[in-house]
Amino acid sequence: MFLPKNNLVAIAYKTGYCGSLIYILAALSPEVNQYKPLDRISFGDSTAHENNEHWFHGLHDYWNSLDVDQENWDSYIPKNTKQALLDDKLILFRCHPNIAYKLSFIENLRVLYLTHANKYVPERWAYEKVYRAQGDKFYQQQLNKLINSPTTVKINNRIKRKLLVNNLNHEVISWKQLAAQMKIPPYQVEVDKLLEKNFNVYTNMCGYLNITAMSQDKFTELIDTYNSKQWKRF
Amino acid sequence: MEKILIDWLKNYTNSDLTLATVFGNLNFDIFDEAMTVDFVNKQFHIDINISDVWFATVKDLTDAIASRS
Repeated sequence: MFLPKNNLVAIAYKTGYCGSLIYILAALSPEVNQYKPLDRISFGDSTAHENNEHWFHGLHDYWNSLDVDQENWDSYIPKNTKQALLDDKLILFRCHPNIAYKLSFIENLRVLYLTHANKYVPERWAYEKVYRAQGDKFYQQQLNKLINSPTTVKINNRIKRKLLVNNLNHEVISWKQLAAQMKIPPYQVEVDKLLEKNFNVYTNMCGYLNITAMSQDKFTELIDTYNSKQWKRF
Repeated sequence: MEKILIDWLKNYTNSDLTLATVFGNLNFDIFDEAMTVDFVNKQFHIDINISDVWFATVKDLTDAIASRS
């Protein structure tokens, strides 16, 4: 089994918790290996997906990575990633907290665990960015998963609410559970404070990763740009 | 119950509201309805996802919760 040096970092988050922003904030440090040069950061759709990093096969997609374990780990690693993992620079990848939990066999894996003081806020962002864009397809897929069978039943508002609540309460490994499982304790990044331009939250994160922080002015500019594109209720 | 719900709605919608507030004026949509269903369920152990049509006012919602308590 291929194991990285001490340079692998998982960004563990549920959709809506600004995973791409955290990726960019960290990846702009010189100690991080950028999958693609981060030279065009516009947060056009309030995400950074145009800079999607594909260091691993499928680990970003929750449903496609549920089977990952020690036995099949190598099959998730492309050749160029193996090469990069032999380097000194950090390799950052994004995944669901439940997948980070399954990767605990990588003893030197560091994890940034993204949290928010009000869970309804990132859920709304996920809804705006992903679910609403999919329209009825989203509800149909969720219903099929719920009843474990394909169906074409008309989905009314009661069912839609039920499916949204189910999605909200989808069981996610907590930071505490993850901390109990990992050899290196995961680091909690309070996304709400970061979006309030709390520079300490950012520099503490850099301290955990042992990377150089950008200037406070640059940090403030990035967060302002992100906030200006993020969905707002009022 | 009313105070808990109104405080939560104020925080959730980031706006001032009373029992007379009309959900339509808050731009409440299906997502907001679902989150309210979730909150009421967790806080009061009551299922208010009972109709396709959402409550017209905050008072209609509190009445529905009270009648199921």
